[in-house]
Amino acid sequence: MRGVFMVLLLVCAGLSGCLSEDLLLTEDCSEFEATLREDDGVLRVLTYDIASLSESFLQDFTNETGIEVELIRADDAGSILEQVLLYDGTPQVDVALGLDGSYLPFAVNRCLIHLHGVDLTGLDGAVLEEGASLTDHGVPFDHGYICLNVDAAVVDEMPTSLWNLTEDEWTGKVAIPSPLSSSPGRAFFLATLQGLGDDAWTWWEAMLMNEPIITTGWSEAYEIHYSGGYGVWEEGHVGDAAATVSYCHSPGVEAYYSDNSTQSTAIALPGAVYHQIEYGAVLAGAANTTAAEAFLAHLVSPDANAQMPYENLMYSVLEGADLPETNGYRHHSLVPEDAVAALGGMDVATLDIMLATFSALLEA
Amino acid sequence: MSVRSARAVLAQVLPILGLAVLILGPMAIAVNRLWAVTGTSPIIAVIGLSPSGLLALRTATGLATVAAAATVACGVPVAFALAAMGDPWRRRLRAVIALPFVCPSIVAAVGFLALIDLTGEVGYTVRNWTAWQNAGPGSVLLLIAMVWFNLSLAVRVVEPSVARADPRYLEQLRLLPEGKTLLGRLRAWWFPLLGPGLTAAAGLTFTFAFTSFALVRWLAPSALTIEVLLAEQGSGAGIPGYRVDLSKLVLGAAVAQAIVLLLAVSFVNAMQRRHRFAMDAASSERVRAGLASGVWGQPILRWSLVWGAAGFAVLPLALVAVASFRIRTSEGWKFSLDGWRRALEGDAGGVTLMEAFWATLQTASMTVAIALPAGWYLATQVHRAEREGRVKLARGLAVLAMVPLVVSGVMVGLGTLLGLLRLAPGWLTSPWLLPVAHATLVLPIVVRVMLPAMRRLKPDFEACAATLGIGPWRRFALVRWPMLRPAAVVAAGLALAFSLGEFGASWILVRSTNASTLSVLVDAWLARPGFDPTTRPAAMAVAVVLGLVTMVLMLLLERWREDRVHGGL
Repeated sequence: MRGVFMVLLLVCAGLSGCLSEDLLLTEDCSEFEATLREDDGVLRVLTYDIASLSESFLQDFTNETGIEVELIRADDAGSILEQVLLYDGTPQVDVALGLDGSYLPFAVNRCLIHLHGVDLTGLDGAVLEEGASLTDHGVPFDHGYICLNVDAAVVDEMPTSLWNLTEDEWTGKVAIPSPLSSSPGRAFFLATLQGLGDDAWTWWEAMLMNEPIITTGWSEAYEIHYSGGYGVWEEGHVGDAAATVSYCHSPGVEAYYSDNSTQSTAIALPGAVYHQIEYGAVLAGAANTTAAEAFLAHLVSPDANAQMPYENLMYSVLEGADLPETNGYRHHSLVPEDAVAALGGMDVATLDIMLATFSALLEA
Repeated sequence: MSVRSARAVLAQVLPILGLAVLILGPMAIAVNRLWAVTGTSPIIAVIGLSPSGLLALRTATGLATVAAAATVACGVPVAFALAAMGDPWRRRLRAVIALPFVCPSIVAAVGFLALIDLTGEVGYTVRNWTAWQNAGPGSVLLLIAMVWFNLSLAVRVVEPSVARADPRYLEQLRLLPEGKTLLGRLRAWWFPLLGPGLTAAAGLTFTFAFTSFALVRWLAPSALTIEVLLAEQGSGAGIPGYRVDLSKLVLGAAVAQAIVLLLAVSFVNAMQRRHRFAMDAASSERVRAGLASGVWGQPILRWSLVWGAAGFAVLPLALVAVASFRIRTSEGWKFSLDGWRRALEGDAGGVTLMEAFWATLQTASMTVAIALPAGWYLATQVHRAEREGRVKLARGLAVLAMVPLVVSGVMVGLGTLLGLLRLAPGWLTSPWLLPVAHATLVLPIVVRVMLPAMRRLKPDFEACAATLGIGPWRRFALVRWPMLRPAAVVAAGLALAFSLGEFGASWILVRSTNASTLSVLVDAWLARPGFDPTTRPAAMAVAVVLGLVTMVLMLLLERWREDRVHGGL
């Protein structure tokens, strides 16, 4: 019997590409050949739970184009990327939707993205400029800024520098989603690396000594730990953090849903601001690139994209678009200057090393 | 042993090989890929487990041990009180106490949160209690929820034994020197009768608590256990040149988890083999009379314990329903149907409540359709090997059937994805993928339920039928099926409940398919930023439907089992 199991293990092992030659990265994308997904007449979109892809949005698209869409849900941006990387050129979906400027480069770097032909005229100039290195591969469909959010009801003196957060009065009171597993967390991490320069690691060391609450995802930090947001109303709220990493327009969203009242404030500390642009990308090996491009074009069409602030709680990418004034949505939102974007001047390999360094620092 | 034809041997071996590939294949592929990516063997990975991996291992083991001990401590008195009760209330209340065990874990988690929320100050105090420092706030609540979940395991083991144990043995024992003291009676009577079953129940509770995901994720968010670590961070493992430290952590954690679970499951197996139901089942009247002569004769004690347990079982579920109608406003709370409306219209990725409802029922029935025959078959083979005295084969098969209990869902998800990408990428979108995964995961439980029933089945009946000239199919229909039906119904029920409430593996596999179950939909609503006040009630509404579907199906099954358990031959 044991012999049978051994044979089985060997047979199964052969299927996963045991030898390292399979695992080597391709340097030049012209040599990389993706396996075409078989066209089954359905456009398959891998995405996280993006609210704007409502039933009616999908129905409108199908009515207009006759293309049927099927959504495959990953739990967040990181999972979308990881799924695409695991497909490794044998994609089972046509479009990856929701990778931001800090995730998309990993897929581009491995030749897993098809250069799209979607017309981007009419989109916001700043978004196109800051995302210039990625817009050939990805279609930007929404954006927003990452900031620190502070509970004005419990904090007397707003911090003016990231270093304030390493002081005693902030011990145990800052919730940070981990850059290893959360996209706002990673955005914040990139902002600090670029913004604090040589001091970045000294700051992170000091910060980690000050007992911050490091969470796996944004929700846990904002909902369960942050005392200034809607989380105070939710079951299971702990509320031990007076500051957290979120969007600069999160207080605006709070106000929008609470008749123009919020105790949360966004602050733009130097080295703590990131411009997050989210992209839709056609995968190399997609079954029907024309249908995929039509889908992305529909997503950035004026009617559909103008709904982003309401449906996806993000800025529209349309030229001249802003947040609505309703209930203080715009009033409580901050538009920061000097935000870091994409990989903040790093390449993919460096970021991977930086993340490993962070992981090691966390373990220490 | 008769000489068997090659065809017969092949017919026996091929299905087993198929099952073996299904069960071991994904695991082997995942281990192999992680090995190649990290350049670290599984053994080295587990020895060199990082501090956070070790912390997760310690926290998970600690929580599961306390949960197992507390479950047994709470379950025994309830079981005695229940055994001392008369029908029909005994039957009804037992079914109610059993509900949590089949309750989808994510429903339980939000139920406990709702309980805390609605009890105000007291609730928040309990919420912030910490079992020990690394377990973080909410860990005491988590332990309470784990006991709530597994209480029926202990009750189900103890109650039938007590309810059928002839009190005359105990009376006679009291006359003997060993039976003069309570300790002596415990040693001479109660422990041999209940000990193995209870330790098996404790072992199973340990196993479930150790691998609990939804409960830990929502009730004790700061507690890092192995399962949480693997589930929340495992999706990035196995990618060459990307987060290699993560792949190493996942490999080490998965192996450590497998070792702990393997120990726990072997322990449970050993204990279960020793567990016997009381000899010479006595009539229930006599048992009750016997119990009533002691402390259990006090109706107040009996009723308060059993009703307390039943109320405790239902409370969190009822509160989920309340929470689904409760919507926050800028002034406070109001009751409205908005949450239900949103869930029914469904913009969480375009999945409506009803779509997920039908998809869940479909997945669950497909799971039962695969798991029951496969489990029946595997149990038959184990039993046959046992009868034929082929000890090694029997043991190998039993181990094979237990592997899914031990292997992390993350490894299965990764292995399935990689294996199918190589062999048959099209299958990744097949509606059978999720049911097959669920069936594989629930297989150990099906085998565990079927096997003891088969062992109890006397071969004489079938031999007798065969001498009467009844063919194999009619023998199955007239003898085997009626006698195994109660066990089969229980197994089907557990498979159904498992599939309905299964969260971890679905969560991982749904990444490659468009299947959306109610459990995944609850999580999708919960995980969505809750700025919009109707988001959380929408999650609760989906949880209510999931809870109700499960409860109704389980109560129906319980009825069916009870009605027929004394029927047949």
